[in-house]
Amino acid sequence: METMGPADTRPRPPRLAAWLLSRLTDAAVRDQAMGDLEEQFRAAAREKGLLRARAWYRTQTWPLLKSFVENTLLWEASMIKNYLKTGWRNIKRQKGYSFINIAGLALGMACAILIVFYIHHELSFDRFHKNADRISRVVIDAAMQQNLITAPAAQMAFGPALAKDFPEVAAVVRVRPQSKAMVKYADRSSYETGLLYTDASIFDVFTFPLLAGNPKTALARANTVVLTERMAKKYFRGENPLGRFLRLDDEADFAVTGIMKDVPSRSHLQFDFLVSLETLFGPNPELREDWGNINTPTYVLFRDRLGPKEVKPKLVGLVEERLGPLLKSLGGTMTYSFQPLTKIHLFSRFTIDFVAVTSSIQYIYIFAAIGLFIVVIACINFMNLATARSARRAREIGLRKVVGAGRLELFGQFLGEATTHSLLALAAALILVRLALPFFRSISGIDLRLGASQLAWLVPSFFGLALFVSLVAGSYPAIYLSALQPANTLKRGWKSGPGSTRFRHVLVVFQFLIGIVLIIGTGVVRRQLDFMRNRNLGFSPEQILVTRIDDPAIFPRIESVKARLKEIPGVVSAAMTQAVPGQMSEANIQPFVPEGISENEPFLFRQFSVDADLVPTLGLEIVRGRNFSRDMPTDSDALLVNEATARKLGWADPVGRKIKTPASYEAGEIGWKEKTVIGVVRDFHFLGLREQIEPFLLDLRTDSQLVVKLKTDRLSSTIRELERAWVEIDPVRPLDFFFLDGFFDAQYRAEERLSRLFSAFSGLSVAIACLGLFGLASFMAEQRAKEVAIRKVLGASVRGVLTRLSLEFLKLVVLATILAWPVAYFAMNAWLRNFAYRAALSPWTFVAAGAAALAIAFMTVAGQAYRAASSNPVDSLKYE
Amino acid sequence: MKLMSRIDELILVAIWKLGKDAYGMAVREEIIRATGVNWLLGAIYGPLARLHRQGLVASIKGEPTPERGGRAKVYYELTPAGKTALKAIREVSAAMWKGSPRIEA
Repeated sequence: METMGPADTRPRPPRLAAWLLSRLTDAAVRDQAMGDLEEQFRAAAREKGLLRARAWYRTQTWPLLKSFVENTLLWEASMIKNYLKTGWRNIKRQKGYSFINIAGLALGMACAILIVFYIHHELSFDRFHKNADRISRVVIDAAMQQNLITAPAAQMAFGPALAKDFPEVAAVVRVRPQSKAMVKYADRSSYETGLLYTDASIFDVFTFPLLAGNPKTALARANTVVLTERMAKKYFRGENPLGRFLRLDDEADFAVTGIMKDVPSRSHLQFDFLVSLETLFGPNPELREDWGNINTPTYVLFRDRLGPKEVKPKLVGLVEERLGPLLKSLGGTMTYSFQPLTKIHLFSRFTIDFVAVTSSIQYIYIFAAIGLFIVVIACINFMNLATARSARRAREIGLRKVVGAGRLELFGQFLGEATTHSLLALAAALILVRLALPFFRSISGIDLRLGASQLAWLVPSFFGLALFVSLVAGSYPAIYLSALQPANTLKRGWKSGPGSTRFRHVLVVFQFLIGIVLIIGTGVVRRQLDFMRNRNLGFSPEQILVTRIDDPAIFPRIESVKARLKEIPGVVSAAMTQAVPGQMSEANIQPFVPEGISENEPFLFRQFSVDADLVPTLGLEIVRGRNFSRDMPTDSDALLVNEATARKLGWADPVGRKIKTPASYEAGEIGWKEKTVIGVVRDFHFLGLREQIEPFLLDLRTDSQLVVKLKTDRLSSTIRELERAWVEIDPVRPLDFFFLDGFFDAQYRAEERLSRLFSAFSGLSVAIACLGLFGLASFMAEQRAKEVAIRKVLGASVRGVLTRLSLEFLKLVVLATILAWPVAYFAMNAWLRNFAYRAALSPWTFVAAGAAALAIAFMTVAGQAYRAASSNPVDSLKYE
Repeated sequence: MKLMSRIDELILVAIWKLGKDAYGMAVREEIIRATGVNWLLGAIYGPLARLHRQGLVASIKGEPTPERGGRAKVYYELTPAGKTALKAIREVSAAMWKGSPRIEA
């Protein structure tokens, strides 16, 4: 410590007081004043002691502090009070303009808030799981010949092998969704869609809390079931369900071993019943070791976040060991990868999928952009009206400057005014959001629930939004207005220069550009939807009723069942099939070996089984050869192919050609069976219009879905009769059906949602832009009253003046339209690339959007222009 | 002639009176002693700086000492213009008082 020198041993003035003094004294004299004080302090310390010296030193700061508070803080506070007061007075004095400003900002902010809700909802999918960042879904890429299929699933045996071989893996869970089952307890029974066969480990991997039952053992044994709270209420009412039995599909009883909380809407897995996977192995023990079918969605909980990266390269060995011979015989490769749980909702696009509800990140970007643009449009209104009205404020600004306001103070004042506006707008926006929420829920199809947990980020983000708005909206007027020269503004008849007018025009063009792009977007999305709904699909989905025959015992007598149904007068025909169009996951994807190709190089094609009646019932068209026939016993070895298959294989006439189909998988070897092509079906859209029509094969076998074509008239009585006939067919299960057209179009729900949201937001953006335009037009009418009066005195007609004034604004809208066209063209083309089949962009969409914007703008401006044009010149000129 | 404010006058007088020892704190103490009012630091140093700018006082920087926390002492003295101004104000004062009746406190 000695080395620190003598300075340390000397008395020092109190630190806080010294710091205060140095902050509060003027920079020019700070050094000498501080030096003087310190010298005196030392002298006092020697004479009167350190304590008194320090006390004295401290007293020196009080008067300074007092004067600082009086002169600076109080002054600033009263200035801020003054800014707010003048801001408020301005709002009150100019009610019309303030209304336009606040209404525009409020609308824009309300849109932004709703969009933020939507985006937050989408981004928060699956994040409620405690270990969300360590959970991945297994994805398989299988490549064979020229086919590449990707599926978010694995083989049944893959999961356990992964858990056994890799210490990085903490737990694995497999799920097998069942599309529908009849659930029965006592006298209560109904069809349920949310069934999931799963491992006991589901509760280790995911966070689905059990309200009753032991998560470790609940699903360990065969024939056990865990149900959600709402299903427990539905079936058991007041009883305690634990230990009781539910009957599924009238086949077996399942012991209820647990009750879980309802699945949150923000989960990509949606279900009401968890059935133990063990149940499936009872009748089919070989399923446990199935490496042949990729049909089991599998989720992995890793020990840490690096798990997927570490395990993925090591999987090559596992693939080689288990699948080597099979892959070699097929000439294919198979790669496993891991998709993070939190990306499933927004980043899933697979050849086959097992969960229906997936959104797309693309829509998040689109809506984020729309939200931002709408807020900017509203901010532009504020900027334009504030600078346009600068002439009115110019005197005030001049006077403030003359009495000593600096640029900084004026800058603060105008920013303060923008803040006042944006806070008022925020309050209004929150009310609007509250009112619009039910409507928004219905058009977005999202169950938006705002709980206390959301408030933690909502409240700050609201104020963030208000701050953003006041900065964007307030900074240009603040810079512009604070730069005005008092000498100019205090002169009579000062007007803002042409520069600021030009800038306002640029901003108006920008507003309308965005509005028009959104209108065009609405038009294009709607056209594409109409196109998808009305396009000839290659089959007729109208009046087609689809149901499932769950009891395989009915299959042998299926011909008599169909005959019975056809007796009903309203029924045209009936057929059995494995899958109907739109049921992507029901069809198989299998290897096929066309003639002339080695068994080691098969093609992967989609295939499903039908009976002879499906082609006429669905209205499919045979372009070559013939349909399956009940009278030809050899047809069990026959195939129908679509035109895409013929094209892919390069066959001009496929009829009579041979294709080997897989008949059995044993010991990793495929047993082939040769079948003959008997006909070609015209290409039809088995998948939605997003997807290209792919090669496709049909074979003859009875499978479980019953398709009934109905006559258009007397639909409801036909259905009643069908229900009556059904009791004879399957006395246990009630008839449960859907209509194919509605089911098929349900694939376009995301596009429908987009279309509805697009219309709403484009309408609002144009409305906000028009509010601003209205403000500018009425301001112009007021400003140019004298000019108009002189024109009229010199002989201009009302019409001439009206045209002249309106044209000035309409020119801007026309310019915006022309600029919007290329922007919309590129943006919408990019969106349309999502669809294999798309409606061509029509120039009329573009012209109509421009015309609509022009018409709306004209209506907005014309009233104000007419008011100016029709006024009596005397009124405007009498004071000159 | 230009009239000056009372505090300017007091400062100029204090500097003249203190001679070689006229630095900020001494000037302040002199004025506090004479007026009996606790003048703020700013109330002395501010006008001092202004007088300096106006060319009525000159400043001489002393050596920085550890006693002062390593800061230099600044001494002031009147410039010829300062002396003229001080003389003038005294003459104005005397001229005003001349012939006026006595004030009994």
